[in-house]
Amino acid sequence: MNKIELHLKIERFLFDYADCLNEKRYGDFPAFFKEDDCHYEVQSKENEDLGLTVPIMGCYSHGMIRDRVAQLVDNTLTYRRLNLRHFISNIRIDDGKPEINVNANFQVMQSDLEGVSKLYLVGRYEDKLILDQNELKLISKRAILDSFSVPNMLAVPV
Amino acid sequence: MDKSKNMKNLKDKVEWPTSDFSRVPYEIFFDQDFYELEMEKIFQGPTWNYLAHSCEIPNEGDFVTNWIGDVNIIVNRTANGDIHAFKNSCSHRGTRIVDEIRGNSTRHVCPYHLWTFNLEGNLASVPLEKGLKGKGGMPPCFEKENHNLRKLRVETIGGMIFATFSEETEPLLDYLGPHCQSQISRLLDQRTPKVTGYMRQMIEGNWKLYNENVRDPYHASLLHLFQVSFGIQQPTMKGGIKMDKDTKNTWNHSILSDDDNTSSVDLAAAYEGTDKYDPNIKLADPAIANVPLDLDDGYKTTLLSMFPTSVLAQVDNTYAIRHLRPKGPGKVELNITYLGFEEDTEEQAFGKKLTANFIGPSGYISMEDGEALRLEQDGLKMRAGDHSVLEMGGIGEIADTDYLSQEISIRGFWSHYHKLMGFEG
Repeated sequence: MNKIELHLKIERFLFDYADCLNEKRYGDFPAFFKEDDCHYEVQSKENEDLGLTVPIMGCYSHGMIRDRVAQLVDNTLTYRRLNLRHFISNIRIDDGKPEINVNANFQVMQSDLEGVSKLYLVGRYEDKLILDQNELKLISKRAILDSFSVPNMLAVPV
Repeated sequence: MDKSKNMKNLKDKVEWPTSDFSRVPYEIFFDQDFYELEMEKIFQGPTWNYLAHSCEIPNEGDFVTNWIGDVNIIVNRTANGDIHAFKNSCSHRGTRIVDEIRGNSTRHVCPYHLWTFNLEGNLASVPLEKGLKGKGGMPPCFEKENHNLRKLRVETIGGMIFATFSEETEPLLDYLGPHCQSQISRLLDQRTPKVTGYMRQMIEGNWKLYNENVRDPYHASLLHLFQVSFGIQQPTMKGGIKMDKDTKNTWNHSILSDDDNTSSVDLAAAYEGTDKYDPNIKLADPAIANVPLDLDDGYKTTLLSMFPTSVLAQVDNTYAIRHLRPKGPGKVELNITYLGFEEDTEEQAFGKKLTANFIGPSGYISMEDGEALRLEQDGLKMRAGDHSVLEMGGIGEIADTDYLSQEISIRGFWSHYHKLMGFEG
């Protein structure tokens, strides 16, 4: 795979990831991660800059990632049913073999059930991916929030 | 502006129909006039307000800024180790001086005209004070010592730094009462606390709704399904609430006991008629629910709610200081300082990273509070002239309980609020 093919493949992967969340297919979310080795966290820029390591949301195994979305899938959590839309840009790829380091910016807009939209979150992704039988999988995804004064609550992954 | 003279008009706006505070007028949650009166009577009044933990400012010149109500405060450490706090507003023209959250500085310089203040908040120098070449300068009557920053009284307990604007406020230990003292000692004095993360949550609800929330173990096991399913707090658990002499501060706690696992029949009965409790929920990775408690005294939760805006919380094996920063009548920022201890082993430190998932804006046991408060604020705005109902656990006397499902300590909060706001008489 040449550089352009790899870039297109990763871009598509990020957009599929975003659509999984945009379309509330939370049960599909864990499949973006490598089953035997993965890490997911949402961290504040405040903690990141201070070198503080406890995140806002942290999953250190595939099981923890599945548990994170279980309440959403089972519909047992009390949270606001908003429509979220992820915008991912400034994608930069460093192919380190075997790990591919991907950085990107994100913006998540929220729209309520009466159609009123506003900015929900803004930040950047710091991802590590690998090609597993020609399929991309996340071994680590960190969403670092500039907007770390989280509006109301953060029930769904970013 | 002194709102006191308008108190009569404000008082007429609402009614407190019961002397046990089992009815609370809804206007005080959304009316701007009451909010402004709170800023004066409560936040500038005889209350101790949390600013920081001393481990955040270990060295000379270390500072943090924080809020007491609407007022931004600088708190810093001087060369001899003392902690001083003052209003972050220049004595010259009111400019905000420090525009950072935390840092280190040997002095504080106002960016506008470079008036410089020392770490005690005293005015140290004024550029061109004596003019230039015999012209201009400040008048002969100008004395720097008359233009220090507005200083606050500071006291600490367990490293928690509290400040008050008022000379009338009783000493911190008396203000907190015996239960706060013993629990702060239990949670913060046995080991050396350190900050391992901050979390912030901007909640679309009045700051007092959060005060009700943390004094309300009745909701804890009903709204937060997760902690019921995983045995952190259940309505059948042992526990209770204890208050200080003014009933303003609450210690509520639940206790782990051997027979909790056999009480699933009671538990199912407690949830009868709802579709919430599901005893069959399993975690794909149970590590998060199996982190052992650091302390072997059996307390599964300890929530110390200190009037008006501070909470020291041990929920399962998490340790955190929560601080409320009101942003107008309809909004409050919950600022959480997550704590570990210098003595923690690598395993304990990782355990606290796991259980951090219980708290904060994404916390399995806490995120729904943000939503509950938003819905509450949205709903109560429609109820001017009406009152909320606080009767769970009994009405009448406001006293400690040895059971959890109660709203008595919420009535305790209102009793003190009512007094400070001057609704009496």
